[in-house]
Amino acid sequence: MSAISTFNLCKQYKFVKALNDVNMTVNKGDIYGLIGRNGAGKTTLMRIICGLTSQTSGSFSLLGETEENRIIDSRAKMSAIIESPALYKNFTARENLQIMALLKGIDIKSSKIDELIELSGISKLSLKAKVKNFSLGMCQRLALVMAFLNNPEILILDEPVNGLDPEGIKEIRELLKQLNQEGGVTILISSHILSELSHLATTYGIIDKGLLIEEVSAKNLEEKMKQSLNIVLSSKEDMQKAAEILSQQFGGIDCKIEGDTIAVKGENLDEKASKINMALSKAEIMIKGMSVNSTDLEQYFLDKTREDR
Amino acid sequence: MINLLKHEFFKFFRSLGFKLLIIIVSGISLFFVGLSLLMLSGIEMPEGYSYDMQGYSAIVNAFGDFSNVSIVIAVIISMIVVAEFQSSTIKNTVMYNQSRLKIYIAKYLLQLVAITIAVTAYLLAYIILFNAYSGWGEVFSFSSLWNNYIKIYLMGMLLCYAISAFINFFAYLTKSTALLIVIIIAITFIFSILYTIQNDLPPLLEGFSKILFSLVVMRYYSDSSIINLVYYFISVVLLFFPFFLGGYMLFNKQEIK
Repeated sequence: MSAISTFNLCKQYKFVKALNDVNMTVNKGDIYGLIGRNGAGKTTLMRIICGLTSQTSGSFSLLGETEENRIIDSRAKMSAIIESPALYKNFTARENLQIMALLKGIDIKSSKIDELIELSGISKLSLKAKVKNFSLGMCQRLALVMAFLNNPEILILDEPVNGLDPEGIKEIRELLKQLNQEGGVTILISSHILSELSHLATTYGIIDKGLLIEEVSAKNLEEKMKQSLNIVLSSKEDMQKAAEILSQQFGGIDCKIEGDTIAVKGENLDEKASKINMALSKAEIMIKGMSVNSTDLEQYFLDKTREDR
Repeated sequence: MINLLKHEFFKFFRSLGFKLLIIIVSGISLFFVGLSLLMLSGIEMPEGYSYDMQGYSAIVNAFGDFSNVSIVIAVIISMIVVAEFQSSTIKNTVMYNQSRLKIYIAKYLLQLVAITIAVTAYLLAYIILFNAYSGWGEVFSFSSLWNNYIKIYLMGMLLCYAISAFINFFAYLTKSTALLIVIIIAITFIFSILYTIQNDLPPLLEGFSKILFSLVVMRYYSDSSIINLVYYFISVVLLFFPFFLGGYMLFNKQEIK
């Protein structure tokens, strides 16, 4: 069952189409990384799911519910941080947690609040300070802890590591992984730090100009990011022969001679590498070196969105 | 709904705004008492006559200054709504399992309680200050409790609730403190002019002028006639329902930033 599904979701602002027929599926237990440029539609999509704005057309389901009133009920099992952390700035961290606990109908004990404050990494010295005096990083941490308060089934996080130092980013990543793996929490997360997402996400959605241009699992993406298998032969004279053998024996690959290298492009190159090795050895072609050339998530995203333009 | 109310009340009673509200209304009381006493001290009464400004007269006097005060209190309290929009914390309530109707009603209920506290604080401060200066007199009696005190108090309060719904509409519309204050000053100014020239208004607007008159005067001349009382209730209803519903319709369709 999907945790969140959208069906031809559209959002039209006065002059801009922020979302255009978006069909997204976030399965239960996924960490779904939403990637896109500024203004691509990531936040709008999250805001619609959270009920902060309404769609112009299309629909969505939340934990299997599609009817508006039932979606509102389902939101009790969800927590979200959209854009900036929504904290009560004239109150302390403890009071903020109490306020949220009351809103979520949780009978929270003082010891649990202490535990959560410790988890947030807010120093004891800051406990008496009002949140308005906190740094952005501290606000972000407190907002995250407030989001965990109701043990949500779904977490929606829009740029959650904004303002955090590298140590804080790592801590949050570990925490989110732990929540996902041990608690089964489904996470929909957007971040500009794509390298950060690549440590976390199990599925990616690439969104550009309001269009969801690709939805891909982390495993498949890893394969797709392996751009080419580069083969260097001992003898340059064998290059043409080797390219012909590979093209004849392996379907779905594309061989190109680039200088002293044969660049093989196609799917499942890791699996094919040993077979290619064997085929060339059989034809008595000596291989000097073989490597899989991969791209990173950032480059893949840039290539993908450029393709689409 | 209960959780939502607990959440709203917790925030309000622990906020600096609540403490400021009590200080501000007490300050307004002090100001008006001072003003009234200053004006009275300047009047020379003929021999054998005296102004009775004790007991019942104090509350009547307090409500005499109440037209402006009720607007000030309602504006301050509508800041509860504006502040939530300005700090984006309204997102929290909208996101967690709450329909916008429930949120709207919970906020209005909190405002009613806040208004009741603020108006009561204003009146108590006024009566205590006034009588501490002028003496308590002998006018208070239980038999006159309903007519002289409770009725006037309830009518004043009812009007204040309606004014709050009216101002709330503009709070949801503007979501800005400065803009809200500008709009309310402009509306008050227009209504003051209309009230001043009410006798010169065309016959078609006669009803309107009576409504204005009843809003301003009726609270402390409530015994004068039944028809004025009817006008008073009509005006309260006219002030409350369209703006209460309008406020909800606005909020229900609003983008929450």
